[in-house]
Amino acid sequence: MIKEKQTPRQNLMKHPASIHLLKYQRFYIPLIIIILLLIPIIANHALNEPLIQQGESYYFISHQGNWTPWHAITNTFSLTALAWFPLLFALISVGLFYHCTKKWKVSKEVTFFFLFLLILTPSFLFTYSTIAMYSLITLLMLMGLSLTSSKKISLQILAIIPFSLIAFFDLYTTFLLILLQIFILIKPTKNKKTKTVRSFYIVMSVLLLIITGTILNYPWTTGPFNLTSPGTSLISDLGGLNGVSFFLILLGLIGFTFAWKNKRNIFAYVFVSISLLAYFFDPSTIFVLTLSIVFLASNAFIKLCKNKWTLVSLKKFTLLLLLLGLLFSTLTYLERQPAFGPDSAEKEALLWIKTNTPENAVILAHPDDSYYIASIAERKFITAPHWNQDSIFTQITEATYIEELFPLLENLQVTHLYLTPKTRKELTEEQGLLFLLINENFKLTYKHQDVEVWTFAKNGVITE
Amino acid sequence: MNKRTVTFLTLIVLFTLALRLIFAFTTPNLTYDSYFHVKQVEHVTQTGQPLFNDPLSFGGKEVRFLPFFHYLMALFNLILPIAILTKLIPNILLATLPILTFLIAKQLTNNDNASLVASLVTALLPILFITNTFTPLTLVFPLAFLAIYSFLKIKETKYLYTYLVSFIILSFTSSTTFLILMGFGIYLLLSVLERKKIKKSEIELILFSVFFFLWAQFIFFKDAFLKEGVGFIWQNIPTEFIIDYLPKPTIPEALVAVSIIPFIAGVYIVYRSLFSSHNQKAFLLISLVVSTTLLSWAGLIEFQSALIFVGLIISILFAFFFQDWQQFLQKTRFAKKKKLFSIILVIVLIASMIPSLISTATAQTTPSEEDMATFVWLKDHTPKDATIVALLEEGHLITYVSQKKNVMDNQFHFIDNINERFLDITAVYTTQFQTDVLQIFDKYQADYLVVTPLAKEKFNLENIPYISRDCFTKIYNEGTWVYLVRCELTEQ
Repeated sequence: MIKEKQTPRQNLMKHPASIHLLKYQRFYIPLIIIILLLIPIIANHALNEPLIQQGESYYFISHQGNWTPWHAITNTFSLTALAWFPLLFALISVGLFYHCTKKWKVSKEVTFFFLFLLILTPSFLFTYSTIAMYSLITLLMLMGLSLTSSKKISLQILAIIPFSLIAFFDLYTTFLLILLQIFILIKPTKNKKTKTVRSFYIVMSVLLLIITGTILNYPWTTGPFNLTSPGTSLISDLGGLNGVSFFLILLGLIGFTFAWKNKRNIFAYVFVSISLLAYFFDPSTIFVLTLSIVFLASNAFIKLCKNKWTLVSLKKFTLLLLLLGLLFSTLTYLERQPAFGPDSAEKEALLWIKTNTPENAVILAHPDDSYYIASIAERKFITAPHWNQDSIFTQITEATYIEELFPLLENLQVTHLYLTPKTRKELTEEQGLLFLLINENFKLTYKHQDVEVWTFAKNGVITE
Repeated sequence: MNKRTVTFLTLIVLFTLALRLIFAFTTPNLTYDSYFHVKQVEHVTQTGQPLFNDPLSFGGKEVRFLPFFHYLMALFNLILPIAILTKLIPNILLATLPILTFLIAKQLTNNDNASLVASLVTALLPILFITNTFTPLTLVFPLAFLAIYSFLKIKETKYLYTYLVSFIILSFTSSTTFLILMGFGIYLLLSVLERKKIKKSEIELILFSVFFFLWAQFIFFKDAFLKEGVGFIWQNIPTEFIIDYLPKPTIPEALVAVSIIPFIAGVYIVYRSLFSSHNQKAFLLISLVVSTTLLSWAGLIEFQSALIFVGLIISILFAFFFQDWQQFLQKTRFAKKKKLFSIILVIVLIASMIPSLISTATAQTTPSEEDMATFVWLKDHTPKDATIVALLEEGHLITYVSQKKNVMDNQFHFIDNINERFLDITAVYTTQFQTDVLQIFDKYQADYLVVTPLAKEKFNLENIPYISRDCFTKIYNEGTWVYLVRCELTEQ
């Protein structure tokens, strides 16, 4: 049988442009990262919006939940300095990723397409433009892996430090770490000492999992940091807070069918299944799911580039459509990123609360705004997304009569109400909380650009 | 193709076109939803652009739709007046369907007679006799079947390009194209289950189609996707209205719409292909039937579109049935009278389809001449910025004929609290209390109320209980009532 030789026309990996990109990927990938991650910083700076965005950032800044390495960093640095940390983490992580893939002899194609598709995902942009848990976890993980792949035993032992720190986020991450360490352990090595160190990693991580899970009461997952459902937050094109492009999911599915034929990909299946389950349990773990989707998608993309098609122009056009689709999601995400909040009007209102309300004031706000209340206004809130008790907020906002509403507010010792346009939009004006605000016990004490602060006193005596 | 076949096929096409045009020109006006597209075509003709920001719909809103149909019709509008164009072109487009079904049936059965019968079934398909509709679907069906035909002949380069062109046009014409993609998905699944070898070129085309379709939808509906999320696929249709718009398909309705003989024959062929003979030739068509049924059942495509699509595929599958019928006769003692029995079958078929066809064509819901006169009157006798409350169905008549703002029409995207709005409009026709109605009119800053014979029939109205002389002045009373609302609610 005569087999047709793959030409650059058919195998796009042999195209001069592809060869150039693969060769100089260590320059291009960081460059794209810098451009993409600088956009939100510049946009927020130009629009005079807070540089640090999103509830997750303020969760760590206001030191909610159990201690994590982020708590230590946010304690040490100023807000302006913190705004640059995600970009720094992204660049270091990419450097470490290249170091690891070189040691593990991963092909340049896989490295390039994995990173290229990853950095285009809104999930990556979100993680590396906020104080996000997974940016630090990824950095620590890659640090540990780099040290593990070192030939020196002393450096291999040093990997215990970053690995141990990972255990202080949540149990899910520790569990993933153990899986990764098992994967490292089963990798063949001639050095007995290395094998012993690798076994020690697992013992150490299991111990830490037991300690953090039982004695220190760390949660299974740290989040969620906002009230989103798994159904709406996976696909960024459908309005998800971050997530991935619909095109990437399709590409991932194609990659899944390709991988099905290769039994060596068992680890990928385990990883995908676990990350999918964890995502449905807590959508804030989406970054891990993104990594698995990108892994499958990059394999599919490489295969599509290499495969021989009946019509070469159709192949090129399809791949172009794919890239355009992925870029489309990235650009749409970047376009709406500055609007995620808190915006300058909200920040102003929160600062007003800080200076004009008593220190023991309790603020009723949308659960998504709770971390802003704690960090910017420095006041108590009634519920937060990671408490998984949003029913309290629903009960209050859906109360039909004041006889129903007032006891709820009194029990929680609510003194003020913080209402943003987003919260108002979610509630109905005709009934519930917004309707009951037309009452002598509530007084509008602050309003600027539709952000309102109301004072509540059951006896009707409101003193400010 | 022999001369006899060409002659018969031409006769079938001419017959169906003539029949369609007779119904189209004897029925007054167009179906209610057609007026949205008429307005868009006129706008494209005048400005070169579709009206994506309609100042009159819902009192002013963004409108998103795929514009290829409107551009194509705008081209025809340069040579044909809109009144002729809206009735002529859609019917010509739909009259090409017997040719396409003939070609597909011929490709699958290689039997001229069976294919001609399939094309005859298509020509007489009752559900297709919505002759006064002017919507993109009239272009979608011929294009979809052209794409399917080209897909079946993918080995030949010219059909590969025909498929690409038709699919690209489809992607910019209607989101209903999704059902073809879904059909492809089921086709791949069926092929894997039945161990049918899938051609590489088929997979390549399916991949291209999926990515192109998605890309096209994202370009036009980006904002709607972001605002409505997954709910976008249900088009933000009010929950109460969804029962009318997307009713669950029932077998009796399908029997009437597709006609009993083709329907039973179609079900038999699907059963036989899947479970008995494992006839892989019909896999693609069966997959399309399955995808249409699933999408319709899930409320993702309009019931009528689903029925038309299924009806057309059943017409093609009828060719298999006819072929089997002839082969069966061949094995019996009636072999010599095979021709006579086939003619009898065709006559029975025609006789069973014609009554349903006439019933569908005459039952089209179009505004009467009196209704149109009312909306023209409103154009001349109400202020330029007036807002008029009418039935949801009549929303486009207000914006197109009266050129005034409406409170609601069937372009639901981007509207918050759509259910509330729908219930408010319904309340205007059903409530007993004037204060409720005045509150609704205040809410939407509406000035006029139109009660057409359709509204009277729909809500069983002999009079409107809350009407008082102080607040409502009847300014038009020619079968349709038009009221000027003179009061508004004020807080004490």
